[in-house]
Amino acid sequence: MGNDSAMQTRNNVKGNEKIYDVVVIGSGAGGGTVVHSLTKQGVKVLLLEAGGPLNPAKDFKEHMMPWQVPHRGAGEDGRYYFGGMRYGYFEAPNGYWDIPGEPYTVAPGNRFSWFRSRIVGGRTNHFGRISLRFSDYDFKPYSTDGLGDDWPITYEDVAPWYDKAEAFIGVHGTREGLRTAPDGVFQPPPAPRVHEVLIQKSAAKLGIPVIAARKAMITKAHNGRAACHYCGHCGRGCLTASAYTSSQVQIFPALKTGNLELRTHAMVRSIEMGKSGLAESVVYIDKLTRQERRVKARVIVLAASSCESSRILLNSKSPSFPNGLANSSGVVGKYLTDTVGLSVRGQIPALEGLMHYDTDGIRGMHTYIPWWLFGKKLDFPRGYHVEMGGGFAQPQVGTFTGTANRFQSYGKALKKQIRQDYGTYIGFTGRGEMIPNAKSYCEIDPTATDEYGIPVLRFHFAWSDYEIKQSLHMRQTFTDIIRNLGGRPETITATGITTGGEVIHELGTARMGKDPRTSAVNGYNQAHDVKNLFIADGAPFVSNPDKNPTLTIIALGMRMSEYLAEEMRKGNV
Amino acid sequence: MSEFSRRSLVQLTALPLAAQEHNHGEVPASPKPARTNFFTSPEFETLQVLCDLILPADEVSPAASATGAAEYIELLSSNNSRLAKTFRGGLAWLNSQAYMLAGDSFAKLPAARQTELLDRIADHRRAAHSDAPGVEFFDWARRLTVDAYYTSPSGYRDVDYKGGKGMTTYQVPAAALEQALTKAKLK
Repeated sequence: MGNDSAMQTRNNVKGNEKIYDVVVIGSGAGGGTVVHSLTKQGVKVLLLEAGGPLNPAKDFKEHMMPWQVPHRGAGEDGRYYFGGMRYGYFEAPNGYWDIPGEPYTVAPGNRFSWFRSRIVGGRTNHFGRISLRFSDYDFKPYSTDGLGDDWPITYEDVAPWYDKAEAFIGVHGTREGLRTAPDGVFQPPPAPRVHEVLIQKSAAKLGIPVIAARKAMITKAHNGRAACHYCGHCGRGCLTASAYTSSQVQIFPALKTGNLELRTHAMVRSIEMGKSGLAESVVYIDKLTRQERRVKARVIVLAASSCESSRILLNSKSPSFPNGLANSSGVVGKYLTDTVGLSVRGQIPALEGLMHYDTDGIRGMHTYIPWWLFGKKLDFPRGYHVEMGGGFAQPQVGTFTGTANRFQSYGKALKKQIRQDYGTYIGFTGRGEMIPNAKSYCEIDPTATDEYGIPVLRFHFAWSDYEIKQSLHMRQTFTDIIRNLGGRPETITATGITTGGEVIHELGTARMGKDPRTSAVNGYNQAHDVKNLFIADGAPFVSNPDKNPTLTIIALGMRMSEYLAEEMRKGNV
Repeated sequence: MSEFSRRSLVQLTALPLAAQEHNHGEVPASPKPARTNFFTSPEFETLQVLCDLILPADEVSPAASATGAAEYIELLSSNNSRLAKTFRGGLAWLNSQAYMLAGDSFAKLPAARQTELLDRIADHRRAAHSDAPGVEFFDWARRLTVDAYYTSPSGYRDVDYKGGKGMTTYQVPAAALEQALTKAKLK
């Protein structure tokens, strides 16, 4: 399907002076949402995607068993064994940490990993689908504890759009009445697994709440999408679109309206200004012919991912914007954050020798721990939520490496030990809020370009004491929960905190605000400096709360699209 | 939107284990990867003997050779110079020790002498420093043999993996929950 549409649209590129209503750059959660909302209202949209088309029936490896490929998932050249396959052979073709020909640099002494996706649907083909609303206080971080800045919008502004976003993409969960985890429009959640019930009952004794997970996976048929069939392969891409993706749920339906044109392999270099202070055209490289192309539009929407959108702005210099487009404030690239992450797992003797059952369900957790210490006096600001894993997972390459290492045995003894060890591990992963700091930002590297001649980003990144202390609190919590169940936490090194960028929640590099001197876009994601330019990805986020960003990207994308369509009707843009 | 209907769900996403269960009552015998003939015949034979010592047949499941473990290691070694060096060198080391110990190649030693040799290198916590090359080799051999074994239908049956079938509504057997809560003293 993606192939056909890419072919169709490439034909009418040459030499046209067609002016589109809207050009959207990027097809992930932000771009997909804008495209879907606008085309539904009759707006003619051109969608540019830097990667190739997606054909789920061909590209998703859902339901494959490891023995269906001779290398069992390790790769023909065994690259799994040398760290060359961080998400595994069977995962959705969602993106890469290292893209051939598309480098980025990291300032000396800094560490940052930049995940990019180059395919229709972007990271949504693969992501965990955790869908958490921000709390009221998440929009007012400065007012709450004096750190960072407040958003120009409030929970009340966004709540109706959370309702619409959840109702559209389909999110399961339970209503709990917690301020730290506002309730939404939920489908019923799947039943908790045995280890999740054990964790719930045990953690309750420590005063830690465990509630149903909230994920964009449908448990009831919804808008023509079949209910989840609980194969546990969600990360491989879901052929029935029971897990939300922008490709299957927003872009493919939008193509059917006749109002959307999709161009794949379109790597955007810059945005050019026209007369009267408006953005006029998008310049991109067609990766297949390596030729430069230009398209004109009334409105341009950046949704290329936080840092990629910032890169395009910073590379779009003009006499009126010598520091990059829409960057009179100088904030583009600044305030870069990622989520604080730390994991601990442990073996639980009480889980040995139990009855086996099908724990596939929805991949990952059916239950999670929302932040439970809001307002308590701690040695770090803000909070984190906790994700969990366990169960009789489908064996894959690497599943029993830990067991073999632990026992150092062979023969019949090893077979018995693996049998006994299987399904007895539980693991916890913290996802916490980072406070924006002056040492964490991206900028154009003056000395390097990619293979398309586009200057690349250079990253600077540093955790502060706030994040380090938060990660230590995570480690203590997870160790406590595991010990409380009689388990053995596995030794972890140093603080165990993730590398910046590793959680793939990079946000904030073109933040929103009321004041054009300290922010790039207004509360409707519209550039202060250029009124026909919008940013619909994570770049406008003022803070990076302990709630995964995708649901908020979708809600803000819907809200922005409604505002934009109205402004277009009024003739304001 | 019809592409996401239940009917197409069945067509598009037939779950292998469920399908097999329906047809045969159990998952199929292990399909082995084809040999790439990267290893010489004596090398491959030694590797097979080693894999079967690491995971032998028992009352529950067959030996590693039945799951294509040696073929798996050969396939990856033929495309990866680091693995090739590890396994080629390791198999040669094993034979050299076998000759020193009992005057014959590893594959031809009596079972007791083979395990006597493996006992020296299987546990890095107790191994002699002079056996370090063997310890590192054995660790790789064990790791890849385990991976090949438990990514095969025989391995799935061995650990009694119950999934891979899909469900209409996700359900946890009440007996499983009851047993776990009792054992963990959380009732």
